[in-house]
Amino acid sequence: MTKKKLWLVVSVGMLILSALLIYWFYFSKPDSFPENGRLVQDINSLYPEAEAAVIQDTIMTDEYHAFVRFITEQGNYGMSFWSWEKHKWNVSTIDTSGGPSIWKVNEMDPSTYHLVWNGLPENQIQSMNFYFLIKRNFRISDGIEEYTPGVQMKKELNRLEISRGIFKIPEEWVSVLNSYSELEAAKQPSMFDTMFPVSSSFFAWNAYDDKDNISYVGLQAGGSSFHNGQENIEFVRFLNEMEIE
Amino acid sequence: MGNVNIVEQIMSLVGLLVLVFFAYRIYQKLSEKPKLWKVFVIIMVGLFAFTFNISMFGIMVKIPVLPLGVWILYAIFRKKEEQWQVYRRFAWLGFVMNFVFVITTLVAVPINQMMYPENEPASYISTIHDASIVHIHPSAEKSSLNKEILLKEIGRLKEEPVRSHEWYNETDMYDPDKEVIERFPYQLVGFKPKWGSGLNTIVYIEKDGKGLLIQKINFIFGRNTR
Repeated sequence: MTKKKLWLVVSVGMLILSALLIYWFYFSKPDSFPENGRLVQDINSLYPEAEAAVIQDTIMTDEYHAFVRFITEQGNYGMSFWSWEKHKWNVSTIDTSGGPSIWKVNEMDPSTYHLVWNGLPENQIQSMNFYFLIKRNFRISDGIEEYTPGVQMKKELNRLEISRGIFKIPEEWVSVLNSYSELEAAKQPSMFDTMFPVSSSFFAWNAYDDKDNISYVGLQAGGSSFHNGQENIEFVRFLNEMEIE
Repeated sequence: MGNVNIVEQIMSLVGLLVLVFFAYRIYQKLSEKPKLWKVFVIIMVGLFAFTFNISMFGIMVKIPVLPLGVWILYAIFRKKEEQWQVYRRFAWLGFVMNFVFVITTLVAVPINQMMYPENEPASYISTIHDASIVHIHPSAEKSSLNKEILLKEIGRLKEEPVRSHEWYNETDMYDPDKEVIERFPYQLVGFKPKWGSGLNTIVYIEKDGKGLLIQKINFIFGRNTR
């Protein structure tokens, strides 16, 4: 074998090897999810203030993402969000308030959005609601009038579902959100700026007690949250009675 | 294909063919043939120009002003007079192509207007096989989409001005005892625009079911007036 040929064989071999390594590192199927002891360790080593003590449960939203609920040393309820990245199960956000949040598993695809919460005092709450909202709006510029209808879509939960939960946002919310991204895709980059309702959209929640009065008990929980890397988890804000249409 | 405008695609292809045609003509006349990839690079650099954007017939076009690419090439070939004589034409062809692309863009406007009239809701709402309505506001009443009627009536809608300020104000949002009534409490989803139009829109339905508020880049309001 000539020197030149040897070089060729070696470099092709290196190329194949590195391709395999890259594939293994970024694209291989996830390992089985770590057991509870490891989860507690991982949470506490990354964010000691969490003081996680007991894992409540683990919910896989898909093969690559998991939602893990835990109880802290002080008895507070926490949430943690895990994803399989770079050949490792990483925790991306740790939250000890348990307050309702929206988890945009894949930001580009609203059908992967999940509403999550943990540790609401169910004995003081009769019903709980989640909302998707867009503020009614109008604009007149250069003689062109624009009107964005007010959007208020609601998902009501019954008493048994209140204390903790995770669910995909309703299909109808998804179809509304998707319609905005399609319009945005059609927008020419050089076009004049237009009002896009998606930028003023938000998620919200509230709760009622058994006398049908709005209940603030879920808001009293303190706690904090810690973000590690990509932030695709946002707090869902409380919707006051005055704001409900 | 739902997202792209077929007319614009075809017109840019036409522009490209024009480019290839002229490049070929110049190439043929040369006694000394340069390498093809070099010609390609020269044309690409030649395309580079200082432009200003103006709005014509409702679209933005880039009018080329300064041939920056040609100047750059001239600077590079300043000392190589013979090579510059060969490449010069291709560089200028690149710059002139900017005008050709402006023309093809403008030609697409009336063709689009003919194939997909902007004031006809049928251009925006064409395939409704998978369409349905979403109740986006609590003041919406229980209702579902009647596809047959929608298809029949869509050609008969009359365009009316969007009275955004009026609609906003007539919605009384500040009296806690009164139910807020949204003028457009439904959204139409799952429909498709005419094939190849690229006219993606959001469509809201008026509370009485007779009007459609179509949001594209600007708003159109069509209403059944009978």
